[in-house]
Amino acid sequence: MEKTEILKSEMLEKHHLRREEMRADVLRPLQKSGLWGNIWVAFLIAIILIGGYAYYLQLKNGLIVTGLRDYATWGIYISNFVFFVAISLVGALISSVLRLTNFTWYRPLTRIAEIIAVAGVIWAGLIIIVDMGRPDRILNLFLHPRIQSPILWDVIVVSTYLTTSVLLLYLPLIPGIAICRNTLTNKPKWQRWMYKVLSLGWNGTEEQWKIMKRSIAILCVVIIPLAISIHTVTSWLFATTLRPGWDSTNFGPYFVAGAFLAGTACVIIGMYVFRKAYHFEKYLTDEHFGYMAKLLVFLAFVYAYFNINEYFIPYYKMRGPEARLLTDLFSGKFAGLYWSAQILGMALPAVLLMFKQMRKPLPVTLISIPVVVFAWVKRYLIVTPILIHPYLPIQNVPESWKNYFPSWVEIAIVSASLAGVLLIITIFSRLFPMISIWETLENEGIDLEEMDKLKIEKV
Amino acid sequence: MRTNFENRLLRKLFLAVIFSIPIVLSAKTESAKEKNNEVPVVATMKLTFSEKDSLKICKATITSGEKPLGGISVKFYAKRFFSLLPLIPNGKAVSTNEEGEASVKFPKELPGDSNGSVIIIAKVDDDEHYGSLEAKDSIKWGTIISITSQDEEWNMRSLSATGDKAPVYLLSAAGVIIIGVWGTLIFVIYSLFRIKKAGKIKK
Amino acid sequence: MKNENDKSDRRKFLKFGALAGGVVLLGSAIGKAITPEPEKKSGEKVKVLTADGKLMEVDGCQMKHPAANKFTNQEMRKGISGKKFVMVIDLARCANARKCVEGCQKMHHKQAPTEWIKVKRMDDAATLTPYWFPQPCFHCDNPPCTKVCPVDATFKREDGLVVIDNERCIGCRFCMAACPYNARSFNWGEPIIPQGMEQEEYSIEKSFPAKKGTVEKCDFCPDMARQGKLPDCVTECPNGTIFFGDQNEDTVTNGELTFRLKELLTNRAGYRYLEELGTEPRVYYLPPVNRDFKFEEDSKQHNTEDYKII
Repeated sequence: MEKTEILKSEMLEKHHLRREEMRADVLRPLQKSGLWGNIWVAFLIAIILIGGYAYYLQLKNGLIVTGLRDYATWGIYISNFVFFVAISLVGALISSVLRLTNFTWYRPLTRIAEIIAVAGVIWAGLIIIVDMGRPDRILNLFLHPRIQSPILWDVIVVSTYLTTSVLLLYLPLIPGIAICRNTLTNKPKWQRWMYKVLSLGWNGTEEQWKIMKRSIAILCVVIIPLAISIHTVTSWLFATTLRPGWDSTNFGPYFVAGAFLAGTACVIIGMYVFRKAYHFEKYLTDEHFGYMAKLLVFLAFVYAYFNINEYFIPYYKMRGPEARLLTDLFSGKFAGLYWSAQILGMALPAVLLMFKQMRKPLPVTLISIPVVVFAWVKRYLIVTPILIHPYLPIQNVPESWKNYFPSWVEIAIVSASLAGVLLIITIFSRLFPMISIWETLENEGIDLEEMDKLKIEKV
Repeated sequence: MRTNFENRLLRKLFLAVIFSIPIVLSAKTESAKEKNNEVPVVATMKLTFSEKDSLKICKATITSGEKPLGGISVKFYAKRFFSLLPLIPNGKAVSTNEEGEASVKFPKELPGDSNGSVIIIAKVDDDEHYGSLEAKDSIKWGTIISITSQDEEWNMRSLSATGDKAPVYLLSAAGVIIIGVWGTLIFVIYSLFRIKKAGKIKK
Repeated sequence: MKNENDKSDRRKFLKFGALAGGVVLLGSAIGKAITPEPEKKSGEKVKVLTADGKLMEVDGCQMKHPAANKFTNQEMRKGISGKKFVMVIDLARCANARKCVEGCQKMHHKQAPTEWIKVKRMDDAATLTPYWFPQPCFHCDNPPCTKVCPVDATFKREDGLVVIDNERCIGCRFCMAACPYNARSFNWGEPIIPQGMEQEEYSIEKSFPAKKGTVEKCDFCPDMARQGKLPDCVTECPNGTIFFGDQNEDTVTNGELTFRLKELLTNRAGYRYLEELGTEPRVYYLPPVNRDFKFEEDSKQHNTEDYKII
């Protein structure tokens, strides 16, 4: 857009109107929650309560209430942990990688991606505590830390990533909170108080814009290595062992690639839900779904590349104990899950999304659902089959030890954690604008910083 | 009468306990004495060590008074932590010759303690005439086990050692990364306060 | 002695035999208690003590353990000075009697299906005859398990042992995942502790009393070694399959036979299981050549029952 002296005030007026329009659009969902919204929250809370009761039973009786035993010593708690870490990576991908590579279309999606990241990493931290046999001794991690252990690296990197993600969610949100503070005056007292505190006295001064934008720029650089670390370290929980199937140098990039794929699919589903529920059609456009679909295809191919390295090359060699595992995955009792994960969760979505007709919002979302579901399944396949295919044969143990099937307690707790992620996202979206107004308008060539400056100068 | 009997019993019981302590303590001596009582001839075994041209010999000499006793099977052992190690690999015995002497070569490179001492035991098990005999002595022929090197090795920093013995490169790398990243994060958190301040000034 | 004169009372005296016997045994226990420690460690006395072991079992296993309590956590984390424990398992002698498993379970008060030492049927190839493979913890010199522990709950001692501090363990089970041999077990539920022993003080060297939600495994019985005694799996084996000893002394014994470690390994082509993993186990195997027993199928199924929630 070209700016000339004569047109400037006219344009400013136009921009002003556009800003007011967008503010109204974005804040409308915050005005009141509908019946379905309340049923949804009640449903999530019910699942969390059931999970809470299951966890109480587990605390009381020990991990004996799970399907885990001495061979399958890690189960769906750990695969769920890996899944949550995986989806949390997308925050970094959307708001940082795309930003640093000078794409701009991503901007209306940042908030959705960031809140998925924050909710995912919070529950990743919680679910790993659930997996512990002695959660009462968690302080030992700080009293007797052993820096050589990948678990400690994970503790460090998860807490760091959580902090960074929260900051990266919060900083661009400050102008939004300020708008909430100024306009949502009919809200309960605590909510108004929260807006007041969290908006940090935002007035859109030049200094404030400058500090905020610079802080975001810093975080965007920091979060990329952090995001890669968090998932690489998580992959090291497996790759630092000598177990056939985990003993792989490919694991870090393999996990990171899979995480980007799963997270992108999550964001697509989130986009669709918010577009429908909050009527964000104007902001989360068909074009955005198209871009995300293309990104998904690209990431699926990257992931496929690492999968070929991870499975085909060992299959080519068929080294002793690994051969038993691979046979079980390819044609044994895990074959159904394995091929579903590879085909429905990776190959088919990539192929389908290459067709333009498929890159419309609804088909993209429908294709993304199996990508997310099988991303979870894939993490289960990474954890458990390997544990029940050790070097030494499993003998003289109860029949149930030779296989793993999660107990209802595990399923309840994992469901609760999934519900927990959704609950965090839901509650957040009820309190804060889900689309970043200033970032989106910047895309349209409307610089709110500039406008604020002019307004202040006028005053 | 009954009390009298009980008193006597208790007295005997008491005596039994008192006597049992030294009896148990010296159970071995006792049994040896018993055997000696059966066999009128008392034999003694002496253990000596000699070294000639790098050949190390453990020699047991069995005599009865001045008279050397031949044809008696002697087994040689080195004392170990859990058991006795036969100096002849298959555990066979050596017969004494006419001079009453039986000898074995001291095995090559047999570890001793931190001074290189090995306790050698010569044994005669249940000889039909002389019963069981034993002689033991310590000799500094063993190779020295260096406890210090083991200690040093254990105290070395490594990935499998305890947390306080983490490798320096790991500690420093982790430290640099943590300080670097958290320094940045703290700076950003500090920026939040600056944002607040910047808002106030304009007001 | 003087008893000769009291022949008339002898029968009545015998009525009190059991009591008197008990007291004599008590006397012997006192006697043993005041015997200086080094005497106990003599190889010869081991056998005497083994015979006495029966008497002690009458009083329960508490009698076996108090010695371990004298050491501090710090000392137990360091280990027995100057030792380097090592095990040699002669596969030619193993007939799957499973006495090592039972002895170990009894000694450590573990119930099936928990086995700290396992006996596995190994079928290396279709053309080869299967053999039985007793498998304890290998106490590796490059242990993958201690590497990954986040809280120093499992660690390598100076005497070569890899042990667990169940009062430190957070139950993350990373060590179990890291052990390529599955040597580790977990207290999934509340462990069953024999009556009257609940109050016993925990010691790393006894691995007892077990604690819910923590990892446990074969510990090479350092509390027994402190007393100069062999682990129960060694002494319980009717075929003398398992040899135990100190590598620094170059000696291993199965209680009956004693060999020089290097000679035994050289003469019998000793090897370590999965040497290529580089974990450097402290357990060596002698290949099953010239076997003492023909391979026989195990007619019984073991450990078919899972734990029950208590």
